Amino acid sequence: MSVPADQSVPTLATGCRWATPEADDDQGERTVLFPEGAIKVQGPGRRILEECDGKRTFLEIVSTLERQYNVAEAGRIRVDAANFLEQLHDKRIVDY
Amino acid sequence: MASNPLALIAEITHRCPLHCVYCSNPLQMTQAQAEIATEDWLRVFGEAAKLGMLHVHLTGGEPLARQDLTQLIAGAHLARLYTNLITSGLGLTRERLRELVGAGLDHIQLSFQDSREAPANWIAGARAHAHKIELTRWIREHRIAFTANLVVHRQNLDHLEEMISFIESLAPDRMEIAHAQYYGWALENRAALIPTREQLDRAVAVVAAAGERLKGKIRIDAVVADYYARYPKACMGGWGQRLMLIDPKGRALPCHAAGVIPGLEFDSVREHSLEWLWQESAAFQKFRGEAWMPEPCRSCDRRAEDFGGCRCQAFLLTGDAAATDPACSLSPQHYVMEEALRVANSGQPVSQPVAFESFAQVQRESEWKYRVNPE
Repeated sequence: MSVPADQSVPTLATGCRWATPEADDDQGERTVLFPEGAIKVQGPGRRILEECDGKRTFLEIVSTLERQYNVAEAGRIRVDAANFLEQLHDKRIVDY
Repeated sequence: MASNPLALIAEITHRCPLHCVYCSNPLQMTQAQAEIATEDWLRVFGEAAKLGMLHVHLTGGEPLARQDLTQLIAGAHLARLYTNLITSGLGLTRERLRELVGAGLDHIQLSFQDSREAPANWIAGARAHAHKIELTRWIREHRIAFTANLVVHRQNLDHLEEMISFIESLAPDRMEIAHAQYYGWALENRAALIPTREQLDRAVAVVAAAGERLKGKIRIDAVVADYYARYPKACMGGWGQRLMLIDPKGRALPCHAAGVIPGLEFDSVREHSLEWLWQESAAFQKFRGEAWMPEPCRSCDRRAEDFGGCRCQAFLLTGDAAATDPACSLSPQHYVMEEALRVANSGQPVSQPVAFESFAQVQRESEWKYRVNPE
């Protein structure tokens, strides 16, 4: 499979969900549940996944993240986010 | 203190409309009137969540045989557990499925016995295949995860590719291809289930190719055949390390088959909290950690990876639950595996499916020992 296209809309895959609602949580680790397991995400990984609300495109998500993280190298966030989402896509945790 | 368990296996009933010849249920099953009540399960789910468990796997028997299943799912969901229903689909109507999803069902795992109707019904001892296919259409009307599970063995491995294409056509999110594991009824039927070396090698290649082809579309999880492995499986992720099973009458077990081990007492949720059962009960402490290990496990580099394998298999095949799992090539009793494999590879033909008319007839005409129901 390939990385998300700019206009694709990433979202948690069917049957995958956060263990706790966002409001219950601090800025540390958060857990995503899926059929036979769970992953814990924190830091940038958590931020990327929380942006995948099924409404915004990959490009919009990257723009949001670029505003939040001050990364000097142009295009770096886009590549990192794409690779991260591709891995989760292969595990059927993210759809786009 | 043992670290907290991750998931609860709720074996809510032993009643089942299917008679699968590889059923992992114990030969001695719990009768309906001995099953614990709805309130007991709801309390268990609450305690499970407090202990840090994330998932509950509702299984059986056939969980749908319990009339309070909707309530149980609602209770588990309320306790914030991820709910997984492991089912044959028999007893599930479109309306009942809608109810279960409404109650908070996250994931349904539907078993298939074959891609072909006649052998599927022959293995199940029930006319189930057509209904299962119809059910998959209803499942896809909802936003829940769908896993199709296929148990593979000597009788169906020769058309594994066809079975994978069949499962693919049902559009699940996940496909579980599990080699039969020899406990309960499967051990009784082992000679007719155990694959040949050739079947196994082909299966490994076929599953790997399908995994590559379906990547990003359907996730394939494979459960290996440990009889052919060099090292044993890390059964249950270690005894009393990750999982807790509650059986239909409320007893807490470290795994599905632990009831076969003589001398183990299993305490009940009727008398104890889940936390006590996990931390203090004798059954969970018996093979936890490494102190119980004999050689060659005790000094083995792999002991923290496979925990000496499966205690139940060790008992069933060597008579000693504390022995190294004979699936391990380092086990002094590995010859029992080698003997089973020698017989499996001695050129005995694969059986022909018996046409299904009624359970009594197929039971009479097949060589299987079918799983029967609790009285």
